[in-house]
Formats: sequence, C-alpha cells, structure tokens
Amino acid sequence: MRNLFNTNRWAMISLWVLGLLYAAALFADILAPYSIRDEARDYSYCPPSAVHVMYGGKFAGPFVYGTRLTFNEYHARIYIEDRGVRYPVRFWIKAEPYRFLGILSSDRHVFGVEAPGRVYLFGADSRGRDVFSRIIHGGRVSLTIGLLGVIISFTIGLLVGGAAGYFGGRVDQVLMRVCEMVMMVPGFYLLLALRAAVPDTFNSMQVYCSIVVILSFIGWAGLARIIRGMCLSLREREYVLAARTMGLSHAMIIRRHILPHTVSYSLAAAMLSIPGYILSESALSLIGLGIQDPYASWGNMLSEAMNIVRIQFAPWILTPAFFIFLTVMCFNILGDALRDALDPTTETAITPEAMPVVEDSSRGGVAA
Amino acid sequence: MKEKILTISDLSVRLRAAPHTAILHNVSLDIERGSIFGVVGGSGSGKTTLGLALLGLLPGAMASSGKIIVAGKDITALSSEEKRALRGAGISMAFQEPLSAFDPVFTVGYQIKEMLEAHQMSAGARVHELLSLCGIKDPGRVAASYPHELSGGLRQRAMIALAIACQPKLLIADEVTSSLDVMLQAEIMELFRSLRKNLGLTIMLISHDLGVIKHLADDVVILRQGRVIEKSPCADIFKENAQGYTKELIRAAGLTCC
Repeated sequence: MRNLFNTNRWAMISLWVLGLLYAAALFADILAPYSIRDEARDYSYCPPSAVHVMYGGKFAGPFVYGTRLTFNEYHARIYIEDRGVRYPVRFWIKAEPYRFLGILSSDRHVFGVEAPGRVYLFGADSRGRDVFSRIIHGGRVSLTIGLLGVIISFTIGLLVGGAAGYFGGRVDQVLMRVCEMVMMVPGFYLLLALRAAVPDTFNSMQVYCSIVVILSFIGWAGLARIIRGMCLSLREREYVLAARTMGLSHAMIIRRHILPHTVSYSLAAAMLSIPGYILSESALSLIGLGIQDPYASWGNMLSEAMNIVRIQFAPWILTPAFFIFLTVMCFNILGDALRDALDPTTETAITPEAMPVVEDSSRGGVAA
Repeated sequence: MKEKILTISDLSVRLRAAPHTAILHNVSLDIERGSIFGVVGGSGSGKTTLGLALLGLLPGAMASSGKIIVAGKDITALSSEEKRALRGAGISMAFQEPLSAFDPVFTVGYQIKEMLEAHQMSAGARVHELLSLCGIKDPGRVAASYPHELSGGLRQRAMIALAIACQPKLLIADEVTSSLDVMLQAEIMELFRSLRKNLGLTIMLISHDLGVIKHLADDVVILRQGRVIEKSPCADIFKENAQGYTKELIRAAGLTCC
C-alpha cells in the first residue's frame, strides 16, 4: 500500500494539499491576519491587494500601498492604490488577540500590516472582511464537517450493515427496511426538512453539530446496505464458524472477524464520500441554512456570490469555490488511490521499471 | 465402569424445509472420560453435523431433537448465553483446514489470546505455553505469524492449541489429519495421544480415514446416511467377523483385518 502511494504521484500531491489545508484550518487564528469578526465597511469589495517588494528601484521588503475609494464613469466603486502611503508587511505581528484552540492566549499573527492599512490577499467581501482570513477560518467548518460526518455515518453504517448481514433473517429485514426508508426520500429535501426541524435559536456551535448529525443521518444508509452484502458472504467463512465454536460472542465476532474484512472497502468508500458531505454543507450554507454570519464556512461565503453583478465586479468572492473544488478533487484522487491500493483485484498500471525484463529469444536464445 | 463425559440419546437432525429428510437419525452414544472416540463414515454420513449439533451450532435450516448430556448437564436445555460459555471451555472443535479456520487478518497468537479473553482467562504466557504443549518448538515465532505464513503441520498444531486453550473437557477433531501428508498425520496422532495422557482430554475423532481411527481410537461408531451402523470398541471393528458396510469400509481402505 505504501508502495502504491509512492508510485501514485497524484495521490501523494493530494495528500500534501489536504495536509496543508487541514494544517491551515488548525492554525487559522495564527495564520489569518484578521479574525472572523473583523470587518471594515470602508473597504467593501476591495480587490486583492498587490504586494510590492521594490520601491524606487530598490528592494524594500514586501509592502502594500494604501487604497483610496473613488467611483468610475458608471458610478461603481473602484479602489485605486494610494502611492503616498506604504504599509510594510510585517511578520509575527502584534494584532487582534485570540485564544488559540481556546487555551493559549496570544495576539501574534504570522503576517499582517500596521493598523490603518489593510492587506487583502484574496480581496474583500461586501463588508470589507478579508476573504483570505475567512477562507482559512471557514476551512475549520468545511473541512471538519466532512470528516466528522463520515466518521459518524460510517460507524452507524458499519454497525447496522454488520448486524443485518451477520444475523440475517428478521433483524436483516427490519434494518434494511429502515435503510430503504431513509434512502427513499431525496437527499436534499431530507436535508432541508431535518434542518427545518432544528430550532433557529441555536448558537453557531449547536448549528454546526446539528448539521453534522443531519448529514450523517442521510449518509449511513447506502453504506449499511453494501456492508450488509459483504457480511452476508463473510459470515459463511469457516473462521466465523470456528470463532463460534470457540465460544466468542456475536458482538465480538462481528467486531473482530467480520468488520475488519470490510475495512479496505469502507476506508476507500469513506474517503470517496467525504466530498459529498463538504458539498452538502456548502449547499446548506449557500441557501442560508448552514453556518450563520459572522461565522464563516466556504458555503456561506459563496452565498454572496449568488448575485451575478457582484461576481462581475468582484470575482474574487468566488475563491471559496476554488477551495471546495480543490478539496473535493483531492479527496476523490486519494479515495481512488486507496481503493486501488487496498483491492488486490484492481488492475494497476505497471510502471516501466517494474516490468519484467524479457530476453529476446529470437537471437540465438532457445525458446522454452 | 468409567465416568461418561458425553451421552447422546436419540439425537435426530432434520431439515426444517423437508422434515422427512433426516441428516442424523436417532443417534445414541456414550463417550468415556479420557478416551479417544472415533466417528467414521463416508461423505454426507452426518459426521460434521454431529459435531456441530454437540456445539449447538447447527445451521438455521436444521432442527434437532434428542438429548445431549455433557458432564451431567443437558446442553439442549441451556440458554444461548450458557451455550456460548460452554463452547470453547466445555466442548471445542478443531477443523480440517486451519488455513480457513483461522482468521487471515490476525496473528495466530492474537487469536488464541482472543479466545482466552472471551472466556475471562488471562492470556500472558499461556499462549506460548499452549503452543509448546502442542509440540511447537518455537512458540514465539509461531504466535507472531499470520496463518498463511506457517507450514501445514505447524498450522494444524496451532489450530489444536487454539481448540484446547480453554481446557475443554471434550475436543471434537473434525478431519484434522485429512489434509496432511502421512508423516504429519502420524505426528498429529502422536500429539493427540500425548494430550490425552497429559491433560486427560477426551477426544472425539471425526474421520473418514480408517487408518487413523485404527491407530488412535478406543471406541468407534460408524455412521452411514445419518444412522449408527456399528458401535463397538475399536479392536472389534477390525476383527474378522466385520459385517456389511463396516467390512466394505475396511476393504476399501485397504486395511487388513487383524
């Protein structure tokens, strides 16, 4: 398996990209120059700031110019660089205080500019909030919701599928009918209905948890069905009978001798279904039913981009879409690679180095 | 008269879907403590079904009737949890093909440990002790190996170690020698003898191989189509006066009557 990851360059790259994204989300407070609540209305839809390094023909370290708001001939707001003011980009700068992971108090940020100046790497949104900072903070929601959702729904799916497949008979009948009931309702409507059932007085943390629960509730059924099918065949294996003659309990047999054999499938399936959760959260947040302002998620940042005129004048508010795309693609590549690596029956391409050297038998060799 | 460890009376097993088809038909037999009891029969004679019935593990499609008394207790009357506790600790089973009877994803040592834990026994050094008891010279290596990494003989020894881990009173050995070559068969038979001597283990030896039975068993029962054809001390079976099916079996096995 390690071998396959080494030979599969795209899977390696995906792993690195995801690693960076998750690390960024973890260290969001430090990495982002601005906090989630920071806003500057004077900078509404300010374009990405150009970071300069040369000043007067000489290297001057990274700096940004100040900006001045004017209107163009169509009376639209435009920002022009105010060459008179320079704000050097400082590293490990003292800015807004935060509590890292709720424990460590600090006010240091990896980079930033001194107070009246503002640095917008990816531009600003309608309220002058830094899109870059919000993407990093939003990653905490968007990246973890998929993982948590998958963990919960796979736990349910494995247990339900495992029990249904192992016991068969009436247990199987009941559990599978429940599964089908969940699968019967179109996913997105079920999502909306369940979200509507959640009280709107919830705070952001409670909303986050309820979204995780809702997504898991929709996701477990499909997996349970497949695991059930695998267990139906696994329980006929002789080692399951042997385990029973040894006096192992049903729970132990399912946990130790049935489910481990489904791991390779479920691991790959889990990886491939994370994007679904990320997209569902985005969809929910996009229509305003997910994470609420001022908290950020990639989906609710995109809800600003629902207006075509805004995209026309401030295309940078689409950046979260790029990150969703990137994450989803990485998870898909990784899931594919994992499935290939874990499934010995899948044909994988043989690399030229791994090809056996075939002697040319036509030149004097004796054909066997 | 010796103490009976197992008494089966009128055990019948039928298919639920076809109640007139008996897989076992009024089988009655007694096994004495510390004896090796041979069960002989051709394919489909109900040998393995007999073993599974003793463990209460018949497939759902089969129904059984009759009494099975193990060490004075009628196990057909036990609750499913009591049956589970009995399996492994009271009666256990060794299989013909250890490669499929061991779970391929765990080491041999882990699976023995797991079984000890399932019966609330401490594992620790016991795993190595059991493997040595079954004649394995390098218990550390074998315990750390996966089933497919071991040779056939070692695997079968490990299987037997697993089966006797919880000190069962009765070991059902279902065709354990059938997939081994003659030399290994002899070694495993020797192992059974030593286990009986050292542990006082009672063994129910299920086999189609009369040669093995002849060398090992004290008493023999011959099954044919689910019925007991003959039930007698081993020595008597191979006497000149063998009748009917028994005689055919002996002749087919190429064994001379003694």
